[in-house]
This record gives sequence, C-alpha cells and structure tokens, in this order.
Amino acid sequence: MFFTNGTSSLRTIKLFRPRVRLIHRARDEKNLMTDQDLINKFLAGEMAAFNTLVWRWEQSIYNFVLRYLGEREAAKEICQSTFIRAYEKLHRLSDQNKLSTWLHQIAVNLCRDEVRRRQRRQTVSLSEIDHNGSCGPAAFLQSKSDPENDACQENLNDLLTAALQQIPDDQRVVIVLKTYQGLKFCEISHVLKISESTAKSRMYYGLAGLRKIFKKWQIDKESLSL
Amino acid sequence: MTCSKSHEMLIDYLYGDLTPPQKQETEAHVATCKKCERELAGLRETTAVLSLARDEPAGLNLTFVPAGNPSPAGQPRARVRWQRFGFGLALGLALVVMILSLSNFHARYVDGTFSLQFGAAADPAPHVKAASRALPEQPFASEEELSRYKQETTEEFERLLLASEARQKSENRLVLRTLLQDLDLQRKQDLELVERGLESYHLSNRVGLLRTNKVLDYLIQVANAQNNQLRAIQINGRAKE
Repeated sequence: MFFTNGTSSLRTIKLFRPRVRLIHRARDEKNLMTDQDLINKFLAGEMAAFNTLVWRWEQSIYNFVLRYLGEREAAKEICQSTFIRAYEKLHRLSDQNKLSTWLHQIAVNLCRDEVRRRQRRQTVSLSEIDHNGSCGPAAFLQSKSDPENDACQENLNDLLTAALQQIPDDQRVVIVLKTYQGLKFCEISHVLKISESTAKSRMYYGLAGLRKIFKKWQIDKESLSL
Repeated sequence: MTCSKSHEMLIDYLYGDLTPPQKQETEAHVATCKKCERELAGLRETTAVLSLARDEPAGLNLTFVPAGNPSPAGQPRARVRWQRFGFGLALGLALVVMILSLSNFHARYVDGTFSLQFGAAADPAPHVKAASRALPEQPFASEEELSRYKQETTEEFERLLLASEARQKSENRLVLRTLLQDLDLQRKQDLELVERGLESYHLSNRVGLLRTNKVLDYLIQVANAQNNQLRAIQINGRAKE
C-alpha cells in the first residue's frame, strides 16, 4: 500500500491530473453508499471503498484539526496520519456506525501528540501571535474594507481560528467538536473519554473565554458579517 | 434551579438538549435572573460569531493505491512487510549461493566432522580426495600393479570431478531460474501498472474530448442563431429603406 496526497513522504506520490478526474467520476457512483457499506466493502478487499470514505471525511477532519492546532500545514499532516491510522486499524472498529466518532478520536490523539511535541520544541503558534498581527481583527477589517479582496472569508476563518487558540486546549477541542463538527455531547464525551457533564462545563467556560477575547478584540457578529 | 447549577442547563438550553419540563424551568429561571439572562445572551452571541467561519477545502487529494498485488483487508501492512521480508530473504540466499559457487568454496563432511574451505586455500577436489581409496600399506609388488593402481585412481578422480561439475551446474541453473522468475514477476507487475495508468489517461482524455465537443456544438448553435438574427435585422432594415 502506498498513500498519495501531494506532500513529501516515503509512501506518497502526487496524482497526475487525468487520474484525479477519473477518481472524481468514481466518487459520484459511491456517494450514495453508507459508511457501513463502504467499511464492509473495504474489509472485503475493495480499496476504492476506503478511498470514498477518505474523500467523504477528509474535509471535516482537516477543518477540525486546523481549528484545533491553528496551522494549515500541520493540519494536512495530521489529517493524512489520521487516515493512515484508520486504514491500519479499521478492521478493529467494533461499531461501524460510529466511524465519525472514531475518526475524530484518532485525530484528537494525534493532535495531542503534536501539541506535546510543540511544547517540547517551544515553537511559536497562532496563540502567541499578537491579535493585531496578520491573523488579528485589524487584518480582517482591512481586508473587509477592500471590495476586491477575495480572501475575506479566509481572513475571517483565520481570525476565529486565532481566537480559538487563545483558550485552553481542553476547552477548545470541545467547542470545535460541538460547534463545527456537530457532535453530540455524548459523542464528545466518548471521543475525549470524559463525562458529559465535564464536556458541557468545558464548553461553557470555553465560550465564556472566547466572549472575553471577542470583547477585547472589539469584534461581534455585526462587525464580522460579510 | 440555582445559578451555580445553571451552567450545564444553559449549554443544554442553547443546543436544545433539554426535555420540555427542564426547558420551562430554565426559561423561568432566566426570566427572573438577570445574571443568567446576560450569560445566555453572551453564549448566544459567541456561538453566533463562531458560526460565521466556513469549512475550508482540504485540497489533499488523499488516495490509497494498492502496490503490486492488492492486500486483502485485515492486516495489510503486516502482510506487505512479510512479503518484502520473504523476497529479501530469497534474494539474499540466492546471492550467498552465487558468491559461494564463484569463490571456490568447498564443504566437506567426513566421518562425523564438517569442514568449510574458501578461495585458494580450498582443496581443488576435497570430496574426490575424501572418496579416493587409501594407499595400500604394503609397497606395490610390481610396476604394473602401480600403474594399474594409478589408472584406476585417475579414472575415479575423473568420474568424481564430472559428477561435481554436473552438480555445480545444476545448482547454478536453479539459482538463475529463481532470479529469472523474480525478474519476470517484477516486469509483469510494472507492465500492469503502466497499463492501468495508460487506461486511466485514455478514459479521462475521452471524457475531456466529449465535453469539449459538446461545448463546441453549443457555440456553433449560438453562432448560427446570432447569424440568423443578424440576417433578419438586415432584411428588416432593407425593407424599411
């Protein structure tokens, strides 16, 4: 098995364009199948079924990791590692209806490893960037005032991701899982191996922390609406 | 409900996770408690701001492709690892046999003792020597007896040498056949991959050409319609003149 995604890795190659088109066409045919069907097909030896699962979930997992870690390159790496680990361990998944929860669990574990590595290396992350910097509200408002700037939504995303980096990890992950990934609190408690009550408490204090940050940055829904 | 217990309730209320009685209780509390009312408004505002973010396209194009023989589900990586290990082991053994066969190597087992000899130090025909007859203890009675003994020994040597060469050739043939089979298998796998790539390229090109054809047909239709309209306008203009 080797893995293709366009980044440098021993087991990766970049797909050439015609192959990508063919794959996109194949995607449509499998879009109607449930995750469970695709898992069974993969376990029966059909590799294309796993690729369909990857295409179905890669954007969701990528955005989750991006909001957790706040860096696009790291998010791509972690997203790739998540699916490699899923490929290796999918036969051990006991409840095939909980693929989403399981993928998020893998991603969370990998993100925590990455956070520990960063703490050892003491790298500069978005959480340490001044809020007037390239990801801060000033940059967003400047780009918003420019009618020809197409990167406005991207800047808004960066701004909110930077705000999320200001709150503690355990609160941030709950907020991201609930607000953006749409998981229920029982699923969040399963992913993070905490009680539902703890998850709700972290959600509350995380939102309260974000509220203070938004107040400090003088941003609200009206000022950010595109 | 007390304010100290309201955090979870507010979160549940915010996401609609309460039962109707709990919802009523929370609403009643919020209506009477200014602090909780402010808290709820703050939570709503914060979630509203967060919801302005949109998912970015990942743009990863992650695709798993089976390399060589597709591995069945179960323990794919372990299977591939064992295949690689087996191939490496076979190749290593083949190389060792080839090197030994080229380096004048001799292994001998005589009367319970096993000995190995390499290179120039090796006896040119130890197995021949081992199998040769021992010299008689008594000196030869005549020249004829000696010459007969020499003749028999020489013939025995030649026979053993020929047998040894034949055995060596057979071993070499076996090694070469194994290597050729491995190479043939590798070549077939490479050709299959190339064939698959060419097939994909061909199919996708065909789709692109069909799409281009459709677009061109549409453009021709539009051009014809415009020509007809232009002609009608010209005819009308002339008629008016």
